[in-house]
Amino acid sequence: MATQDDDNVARIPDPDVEPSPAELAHARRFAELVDKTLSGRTPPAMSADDRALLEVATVIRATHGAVELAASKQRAAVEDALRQAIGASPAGGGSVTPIARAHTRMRRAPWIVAGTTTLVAAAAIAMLWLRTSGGAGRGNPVARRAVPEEWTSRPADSLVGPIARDHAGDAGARIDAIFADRLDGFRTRRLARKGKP
Amino acid sequence: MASEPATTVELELEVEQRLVEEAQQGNLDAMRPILERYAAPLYGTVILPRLGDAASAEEVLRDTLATAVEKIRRFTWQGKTIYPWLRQIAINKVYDVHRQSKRSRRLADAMVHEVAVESDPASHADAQLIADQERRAHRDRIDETMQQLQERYRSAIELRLIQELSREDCARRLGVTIGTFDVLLFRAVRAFRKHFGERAELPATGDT
Amino acid sequence: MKSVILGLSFAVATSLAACVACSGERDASPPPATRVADPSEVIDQDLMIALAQAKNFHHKSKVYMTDGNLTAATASVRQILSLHFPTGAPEADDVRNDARALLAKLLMSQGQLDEAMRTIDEGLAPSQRESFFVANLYTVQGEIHEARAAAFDAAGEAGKTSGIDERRAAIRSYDRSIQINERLQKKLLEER
Repeated sequence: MATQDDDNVARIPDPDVEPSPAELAHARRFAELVDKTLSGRTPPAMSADDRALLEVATVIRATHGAVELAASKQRAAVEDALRQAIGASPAGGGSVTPIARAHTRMRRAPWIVAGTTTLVAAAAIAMLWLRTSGGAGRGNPVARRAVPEEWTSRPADSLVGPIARDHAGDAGARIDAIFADRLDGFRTRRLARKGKP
Repeated sequence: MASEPATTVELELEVEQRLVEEAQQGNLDAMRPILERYAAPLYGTVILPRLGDAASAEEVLRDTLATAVEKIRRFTWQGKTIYPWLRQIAINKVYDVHRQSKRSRRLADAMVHEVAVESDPASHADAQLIADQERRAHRDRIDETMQQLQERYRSAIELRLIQELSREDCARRLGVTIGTFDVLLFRAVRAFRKHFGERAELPATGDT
Repeated sequence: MKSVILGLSFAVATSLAACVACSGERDASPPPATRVADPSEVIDQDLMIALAQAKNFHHKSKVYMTDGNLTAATASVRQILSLHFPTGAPEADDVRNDARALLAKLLMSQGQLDEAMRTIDEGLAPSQRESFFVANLYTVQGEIHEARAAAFDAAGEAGKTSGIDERRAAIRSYDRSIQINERLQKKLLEER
């Protein structure tokens, strides 16, 4: 883990050399950082030098299998990855017909356009008949479909869950999850409305 | 003549291939069992030993898995596990992290020369073997560096970071006060970092 | 060409007739049985933009933290508090409270305990809804009280009483956090 400040690192004193007060304080601070890390409570912020030393310590521990990813974090990483990737890929198999091809179709069979529009109008009339003649159930008010919850702006509590003390400062990870979740809903809603906001 | 029963590895490979094909046909959720299987070795043997920071390693793992799902259509099945492909994505992501940080740019440059841990394609070696090889390679590097330290520094690292004994126990075993042990560990890790960093700048020798 | 025009005219006429009839029917119908969400409650572009910006500031802050530049990291997180969210969006409170928690921790790591406490207080004061994010603010508040207690302890006998007071305050903060978490978890389980 070579760092730029390695150039400033003087020769490391021998074990028996008396430490200066500054070195003693720094060593004590580092010892507390190691303590917290070993109990899973790494502070989110520290000096660059301390961070570099802690990374070295983590590399040594990880190589000896002492640092494992908790099962819950593993699951969360997999879920996040799938949510992010599935949200990014286009839903459904709808194909876009090039405009030129559509025009060609129209030239060859102009009656198709008129016929389709007539069918749509006929369907609207049929729906109207069904409603007024009680086809959908006499006396029952038409229940307009409520908007799915995932399309709505809402508190993020159910997504995030209780925040453990060790993760009090992990706002960065949580905003990623909130953004990915809301993006899902935003895209699905747009697709359902065929691209209209 | 009755055919030989498939070995466990071959069966697992077959299942993995089917899942990959399903994902490539559009059912991205088919990637879930694959990601769940390889998340831990990717984190423990590929990402964390190269980053050293658990929080960054978790983020890189998430990015790696997301990229793998997004780009699964570009993957071509070659009769061996998908793990080497996932591993390469992870290494590239780690490299990007180091490049972004001026602090560890030298390490990023050293990683460019890193020789990939490859298994013999003909042997259908599974991900476990690759992960074990990688773990051994990392440990060899760590052990080599440890040998360059003074004995008391080596002991401080072994007791505190590998055996994870408390500071009090470590101090007692070395026959020093807790304050003195703190200084020993501090100097030991600084010395390790210095020697390890020097080693990272050496060109790869081709061993894994 | 004539057949196209005829067909289109017929189609338009019947569509119009259908629409007129439909609107008449709508006026006479009773209100819908299920509530339809107000358009302002759906996830819109403004919300997505605000969330994307918050995400970017967090990532920027993380890069600064990795480089050890705590001042720039703090400034980056602080910018999240100034982002514009759609009025009434619950995500706004959650994202801002989360940013406050991180901001307070960054300030603590730089020894600015009073500023850290002010950051937390400014988040708790306007909060009208209990959330895991509000509970988290109380957790960080407890940590600040503990840090203050440690500072008083270091001052020796002179700071002893204040140290005890700060530790009691820490316990109260942690208790608040636990109570909010418990209430909210119960509520969420009941809603499922």
